[in-house]
Amino acid sequence: MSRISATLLVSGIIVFGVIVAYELTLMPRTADPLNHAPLTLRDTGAVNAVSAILFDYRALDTLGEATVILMTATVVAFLTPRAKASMLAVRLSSIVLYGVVILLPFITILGIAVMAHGHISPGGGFTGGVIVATSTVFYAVVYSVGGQQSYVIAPAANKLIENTAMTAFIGVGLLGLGLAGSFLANAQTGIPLGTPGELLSAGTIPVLNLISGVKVGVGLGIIVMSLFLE
Amino acid sequence: MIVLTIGITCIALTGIGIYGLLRRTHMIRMVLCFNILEAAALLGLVLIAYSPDARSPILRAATDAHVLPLPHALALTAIVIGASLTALMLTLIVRVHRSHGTVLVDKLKDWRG
Amino acid sequence: MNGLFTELPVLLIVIPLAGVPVLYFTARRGLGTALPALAVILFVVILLSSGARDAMHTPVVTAAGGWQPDLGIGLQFDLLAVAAMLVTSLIVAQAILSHDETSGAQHFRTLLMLLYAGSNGLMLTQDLFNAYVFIEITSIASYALVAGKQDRGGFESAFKYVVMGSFAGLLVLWGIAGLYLTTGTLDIQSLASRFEAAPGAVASLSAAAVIAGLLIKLGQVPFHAWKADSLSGASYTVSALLSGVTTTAFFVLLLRVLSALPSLTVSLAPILTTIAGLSIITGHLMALRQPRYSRLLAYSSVAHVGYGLLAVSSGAVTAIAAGLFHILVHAIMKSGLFFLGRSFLHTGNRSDRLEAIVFPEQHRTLHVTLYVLLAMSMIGIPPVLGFTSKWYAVLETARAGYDTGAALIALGGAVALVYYLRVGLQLVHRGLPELSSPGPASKRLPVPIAGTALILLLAAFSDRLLGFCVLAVVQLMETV
Repeated sequence: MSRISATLLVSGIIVFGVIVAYELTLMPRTADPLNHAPLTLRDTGAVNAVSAILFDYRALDTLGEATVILMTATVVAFLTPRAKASMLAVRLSSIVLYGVVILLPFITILGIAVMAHGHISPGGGFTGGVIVATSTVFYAVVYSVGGQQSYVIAPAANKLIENTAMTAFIGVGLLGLGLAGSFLANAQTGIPLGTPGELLSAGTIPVLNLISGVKVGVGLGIIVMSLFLE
Repeated sequence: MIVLTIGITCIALTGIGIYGLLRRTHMIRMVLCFNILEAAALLGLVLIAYSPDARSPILRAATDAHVLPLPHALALTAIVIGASLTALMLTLIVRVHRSHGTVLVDKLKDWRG
Repeated sequence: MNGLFTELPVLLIVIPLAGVPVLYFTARRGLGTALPALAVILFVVILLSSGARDAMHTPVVTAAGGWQPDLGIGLQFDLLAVAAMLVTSLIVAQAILSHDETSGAQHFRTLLMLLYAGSNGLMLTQDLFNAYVFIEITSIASYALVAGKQDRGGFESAFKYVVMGSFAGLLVLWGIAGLYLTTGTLDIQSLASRFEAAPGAVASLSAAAVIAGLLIKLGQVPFHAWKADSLSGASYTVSALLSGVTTTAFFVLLLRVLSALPSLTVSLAPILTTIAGLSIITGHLMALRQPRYSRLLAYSSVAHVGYGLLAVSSGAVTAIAAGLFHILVHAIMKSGLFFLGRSFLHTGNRSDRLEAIVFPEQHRTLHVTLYVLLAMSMIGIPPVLGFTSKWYAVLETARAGYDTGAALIALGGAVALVYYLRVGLQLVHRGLPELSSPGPASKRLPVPIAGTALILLLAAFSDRLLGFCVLAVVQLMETV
């Protein structure tokens, strides 16, 4: 496409955008009219309404999302045959080497904590999973000096974990189907929702949080390591 | 005012992203443009939920006003999907670079469309 | 478990998804992946046919997780889904059988399961955002399948495909955000009532963005070039899947969106028919000029989807049904032609240039017969199913008042006759070329036998099949 038509298209979009923006700014901006937060607390026992939506009301979306991560990790690992990374030849100073060792447990624990508290505070499986992935990537980057690759988890084990987590997610869903007659059902299965705001509350939401956290952590680890080793 | 600012940012990002995609010079640049476009969409989603006098939808007191939680949940899902797409694009660029020796779109043989 | 049956729509998505770890674990134990994958499809088809009778009376509507739409996700299992999913299941099963290389078979079949799950989700979902998630699952699986050929062209065309597809995906996301902003709902059914009440340009623009995104995914005219690029870069099996499964799934979703927005469809009709008409013209004329087998078939797909779109945008119930019928028939016959392309490889010839392709010696007569039948169906020569579906499309489009469109569809067949005849004459008349290294001889029968037999046999029942499509469309219009 020529530059002229590109400019035309972009200016067309901007004109449309201005209309949209105009209507957006004119719209009355009210807070959530239905006030979902107490509603979701009653239904799911989760204080965090976003988590409740992600892992209970729209858990099917989240299953799809976790599938996307699994698929991308598989594809990226398949398309990038193992090779030595050129930047691995850099020799890192001992401050970095030891610093990472000291930091690593804290990062991992932070990640797991964010996953586990997904239903009562901001965060959740996806955020926690990304944090955990950072720690594995950190380790692999820093300790893969001189062309030798080091992993926290071997690539083959990564795949096993991913598929096990997928099975677990579907298993939780089927449990809901068996007990309450609908896939990924939570409160209807009779699982105690617990006291709102406590770590062990909200039924299956923390379980799904942990599972998707593991999936994201491992999946992102695979993706980053595959691209890094190229 | 803040709504207007975010709205304008959103439109500007969309314009930049689409222009960059259409210019089609450098593959990495196209991935960046895709990411810019996605950021604009996410910003739009968050803007839908925004209300000046409401808190984030994490319940502390039932009388609080909260913003709409649904768009936030949608944005989270969209972020993950966008990240996956970016990873896939980067992988393909690596492979194209390996086989063609270039990531410049013009130098690729029969690029159409 | 009385809940099992009403949960049918969710199961139809989850079973192929569960197929992914199943394939992984069976492959680890050395059990192979072909049988588990086929078992998954068989299971889905059994569920489909057992639910079909119920769907005949009223569509099975499910709220995933027991939550009603808006916060929850609604899924609808109706005749439209039954018809489309039976067709895609057939094509996926053929694809599983056709992959006979051992390397990468597990990867291929895993992606196939994901594509299957994604396309099933696309055809069942009633929730716009859920549809976006399934669009991306289906698309990422297709990008990966195109790249899976692992050669120069494969990566390049996969990258083009990803850029085009992600742009379309973002358009859909934008549209969904805008529709949610103006109507406050993501559910297609409540959208239908609230869209009419929602004022302003934003709602219409957003709906148009969703439709435009889907049209790009279908490869309609201003954005048709990627289709030929990606299909020619992919292997024959993958091309068959892309032109059969994904196209059908996106078309069904487009049908659902359009039927939910009747007033917008009426005002968009001139644009949609123009796009469809241009796609028919461009598709056929470009196909005429293509020097390569897959590119030729890809451009012909552009034209055939154009037939469907033309019939759908005319708005009459029978015309929509005829369009749907033609798209389903097209999925079977086009994927059959692509599967047939696999046998070219058995002559040791890697190129798909028209002057180089030739059928192998084994089962040569069978191959030629299959090609003739499939091409007859594509062109629209009686007595095959392709003729009747096209006949209905022409008839109903003309009856809906689109005479020019109907003429275009009819003329398209004449052009198609020229290029399929050209390929066919080459395939039949040329002797085997002197090959330095004859390829691996395959004792296996060509894959598309099942689909072709179906096309031939079902031609006698085309009245009833069209009647089924009409029922499906009526049901779709009523439930919205």
